[in-house]
Amino acid sequence: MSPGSTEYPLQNISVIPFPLDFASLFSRPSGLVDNNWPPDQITYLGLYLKELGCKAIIVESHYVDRDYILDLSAFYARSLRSYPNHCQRLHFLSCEFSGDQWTTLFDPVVPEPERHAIYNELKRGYLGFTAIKPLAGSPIGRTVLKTYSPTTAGGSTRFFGGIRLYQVHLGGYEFAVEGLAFQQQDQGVSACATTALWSSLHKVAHAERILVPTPAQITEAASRYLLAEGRSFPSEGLNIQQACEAIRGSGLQPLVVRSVSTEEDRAQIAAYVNSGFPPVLAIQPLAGGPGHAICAVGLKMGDSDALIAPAHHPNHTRLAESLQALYVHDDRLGPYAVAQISPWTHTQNGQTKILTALQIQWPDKTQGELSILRALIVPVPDKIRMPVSRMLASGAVLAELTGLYFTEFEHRVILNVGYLLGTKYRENARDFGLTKDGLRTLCCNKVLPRYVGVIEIMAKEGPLYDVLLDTTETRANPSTLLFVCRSAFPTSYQPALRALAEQFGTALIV
Amino acid sequence: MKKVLNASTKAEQSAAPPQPQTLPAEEKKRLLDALETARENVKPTVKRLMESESVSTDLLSMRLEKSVRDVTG
Repeated sequence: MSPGSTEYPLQNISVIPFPLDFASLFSRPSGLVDNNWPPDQITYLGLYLKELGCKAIIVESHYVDRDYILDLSAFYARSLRSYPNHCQRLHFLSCEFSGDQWTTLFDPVVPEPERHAIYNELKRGYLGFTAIKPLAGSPIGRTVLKTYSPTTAGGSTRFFGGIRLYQVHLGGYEFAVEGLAFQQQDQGVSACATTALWSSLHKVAHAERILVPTPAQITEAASRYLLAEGRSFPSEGLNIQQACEAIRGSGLQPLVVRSVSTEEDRAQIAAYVNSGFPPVLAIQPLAGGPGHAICAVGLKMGDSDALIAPAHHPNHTRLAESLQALYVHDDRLGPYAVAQISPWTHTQNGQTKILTALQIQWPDKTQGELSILRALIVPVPDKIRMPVSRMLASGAVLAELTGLYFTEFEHRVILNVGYLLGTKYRENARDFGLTKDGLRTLCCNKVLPRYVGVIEIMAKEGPLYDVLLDTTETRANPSTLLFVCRSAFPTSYQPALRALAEQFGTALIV
Repeated sequence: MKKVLNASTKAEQSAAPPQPQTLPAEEKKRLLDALETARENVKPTVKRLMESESVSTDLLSMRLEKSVRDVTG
């Protein structure tokens, strides 16, 4: 007498056209549900896939998802209900595709070139996947989808610094998608802070060759030494301190940045996203209530030619000032949701403050709640000790000086900062227009840290010069590694730039 | 091995290009004055940036637990 089957499971792969109603693929849970059906995440996913031009779905009936099975073992395995230990996985395609074509891929009678052509078409049209968890109220598991295109219809530019490449295997074939993993919070092992952090770690931990923790592991690490209130599972959310503890537990270091003004917030968010460190944004609804956490993955940038230097530093502006909106993973909604960023005048106890507001656009076009940005929580590699704020502070002096002294660039210097792998900077330097000696010195005779801090001083005609910082130090000023001349910088100004580099205790590469 | 490395360094030094043009003294003074003015101009910005690094216990205790949408519009 055995209570259950120990047979090995069978797999079934089928192909269906993308349905008019995406939610029809999900069965409504029985019994009472707290929220409306379908949940916002399913509605959003359907709309986003439509936007990407999804035409067909390959359904994988039995998929063992690492995140889900570890979360199951940490929490769901001890429930009275017997939750299955596997997910379904849906693969989305932008091309018309049928079950017959899928079968053809495995038919030895069909000539290899024909099968290869089908495979190539599939690869080109691959939009990503979602693991469907057998949890009635929160079925959206690990989901990686392509981002929006690099430009908007209105002429804005999109940058997705927080994404990476995911390799996907299906039926012995390999596919790839560039994106960042998203999943819905289940309120069993994860709440919003856990899933936002999980998305961020998918980028940063992976780049540092660290195994990405699952949501249950993040929640456990967060509450190992500090359980603010209640129990760790079911998860009722984390506080910022616990989120920091979870980051430390994963082998990275947390940087907490307090929101101080829209100008500074824009610059810091843009720098971390562009550097490949997607920040978790701690936001507070203006209407009150508990805080929320989202992960910033990409940026929507306006025309940098239209930037005007502000009155308080009249000779330069920051590239980040053209930041119009963020693309965020919001676990109440979905991946790459648009969040408008703007200043917000807030009066409290007779005092007026300008705060940074975020407004997330919901698919049903109802006006989303207005939230105030409170802080950024950024997981960074251990050896990055210099925060973006210090690079911006040094960069502000240099950019302002450039507009003041090199009068040709008066009022129109643009500052940008970020982290870059030293190896990548050297690779990029081949296109800087450096002399043979300059390029050889930079590439062969200088020792750079794994991540360099790059202060980029630009004008509308192009980059003028870079200042490289040693990010293993804490202060930017005595940690300048090099000044590097860029293509738009006039040769006649080089002696002055060299003298400036000497003031910073370093040399100029030309 | 050490000798070879030293020899190589010396050879590179002997083949070094001529010293680049230096900045005249009055231009250098103008540059340093501009540096001072730039520092003054960006003081409020730098102050705000440094403030962003100071995180209070209140902020660290902020709960992040929102699970459903509040429709306000």
